[in-house]
Amino acid sequence: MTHLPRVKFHTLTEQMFYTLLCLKEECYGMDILDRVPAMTNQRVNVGSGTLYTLLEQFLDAEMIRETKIEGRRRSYILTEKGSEMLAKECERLNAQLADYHRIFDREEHS
Amino acid sequence: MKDFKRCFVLFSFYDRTGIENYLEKQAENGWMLDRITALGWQFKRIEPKKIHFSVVYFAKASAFDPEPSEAQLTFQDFCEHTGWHLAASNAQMQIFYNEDEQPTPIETDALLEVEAIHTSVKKSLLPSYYLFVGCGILQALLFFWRFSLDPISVLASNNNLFTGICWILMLTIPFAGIISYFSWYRRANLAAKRDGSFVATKGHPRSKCVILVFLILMFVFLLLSFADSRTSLIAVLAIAVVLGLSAVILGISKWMKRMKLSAKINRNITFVLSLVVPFVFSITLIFFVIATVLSSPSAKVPVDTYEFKGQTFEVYGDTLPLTIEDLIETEYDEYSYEMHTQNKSIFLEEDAATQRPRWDALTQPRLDYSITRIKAPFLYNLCKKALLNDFAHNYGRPVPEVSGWEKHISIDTAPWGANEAYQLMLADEMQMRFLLCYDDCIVEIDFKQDWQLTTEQMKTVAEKLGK
Repeated sequence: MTHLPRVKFHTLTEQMFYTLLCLKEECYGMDILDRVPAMTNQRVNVGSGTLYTLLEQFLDAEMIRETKIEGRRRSYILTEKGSEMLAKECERLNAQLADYHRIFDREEHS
Repeated sequence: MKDFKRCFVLFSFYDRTGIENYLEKQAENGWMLDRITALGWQFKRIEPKKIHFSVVYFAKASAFDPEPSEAQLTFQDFCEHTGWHLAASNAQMQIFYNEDEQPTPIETDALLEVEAIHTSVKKSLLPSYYLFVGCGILQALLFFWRFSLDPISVLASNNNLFTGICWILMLTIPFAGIISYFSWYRRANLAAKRDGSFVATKGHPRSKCVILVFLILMFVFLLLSFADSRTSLIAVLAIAVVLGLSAVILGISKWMKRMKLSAKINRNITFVLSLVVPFVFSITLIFFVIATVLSSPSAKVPVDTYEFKGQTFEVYGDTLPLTIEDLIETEYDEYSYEMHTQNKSIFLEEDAATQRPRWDALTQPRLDYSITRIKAPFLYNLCKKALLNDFAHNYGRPVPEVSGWEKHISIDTAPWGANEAYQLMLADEMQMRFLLCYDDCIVEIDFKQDWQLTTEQMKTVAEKLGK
């Protein structure tokens, strides 16, 4: 069985999705570690190492930008590109959900 | 009761799973990792308890950093925020611990974690492995080349065998390491992409331990096998100096870190020192060995000396298994009897003997012979073939333009009491040089002058040398 490589940010993992979601408003990187579990009712946790790497990669891909540097504390916010990617991911998820409902609702009606 | 202990560990750099399990077990036994040094991992005593450990790889870090970079400290801040405290670090490897019952792991995305490990391994582990494999291949090729040219001198020397086996093992460890690493990386990458799972790492510390113990035992055996204490001393000194020089280079690198020199300067200086110092050491060692061997008196003490044409010659009185007097009656009594144990190993032993007249009596008969004792029967045919080849070439002084200049002719074995017997023919002329194959030894014997061999003399040779 072969697996297609995951094209970077073509689809977002849950951790990427919620990290970007947190950055709709300016936020310290470290605070995302608390916000994601709170936002998802503890369903999703982002590890500190994973978050650090994601923030670096999002910065490189210009999906977020730095807004403030206070010593080692840095805050970030979503860029236009990041917003677009988040919206695209939402559309994809919505389409998935719609497909699910179309199939199962049809079964219930028949 | 000791509050600190030091352990020598053999984990692979990327063996995250193995290191975490090991450290968790140590904590349960009341030992907490304190720091990682070149001389092992230091632990401090704590209350035995269940502690979670996480080994993560920060690719931007370097073993030559004078202090953690801002980025590394930020990374550590992130970890602190979720209850992970830094226990120790070694280059890119960062070891954190967490006393919470169910902490959120530092790495929650297997694919990102595998890539972080891979970036760090490419930066630190693989270059050293490639260097070792390159040196190992070169040395192994040299070993086999020497073996193909002269298998007896290789097999008859514990030193040669030890060096050859060491290099083959030195080649095996990084080679196996590279294969093992890429095999894990391939599987880990696939699993992370497939279902986000992390494939546990395996560093094979037990196999490494076995190889290390084997190497140490072999070295001890080598030291014990040296006939003279001077050679053993040189070998021990060489090892001690290599360890000492490594400590000096590490010390200089550490000092540069303390002096806050940049990682780049530190790395470059350490790299140059690692090349120059062993080179200077090798040259010094070679000169030292030559000087020691040349200046120190020979282990053999001559029984007499004599002058001939302004030069002094030594006369020895070694006991030879076969002498000219055993073969013929002679009134000449100023022979020098010289017995040399050329080489001795677990497989073979080579002895050579010479009975020579003085330079002012060269008309007297002279006798030269060597005995190759084969302790491992499976090597008999290989030795015979090599000796037959060597026999013709050593004595025949082949002239390349003339084919068939020298060859060995099979002769009657009965008078020699041998299993096989050969006589050298040089340019169609039979020489008084013989190669005699007995049950567990092969004798090469060279009768100088116009010696008329009798059946009785052949029988004496068989009795004295063929046992």
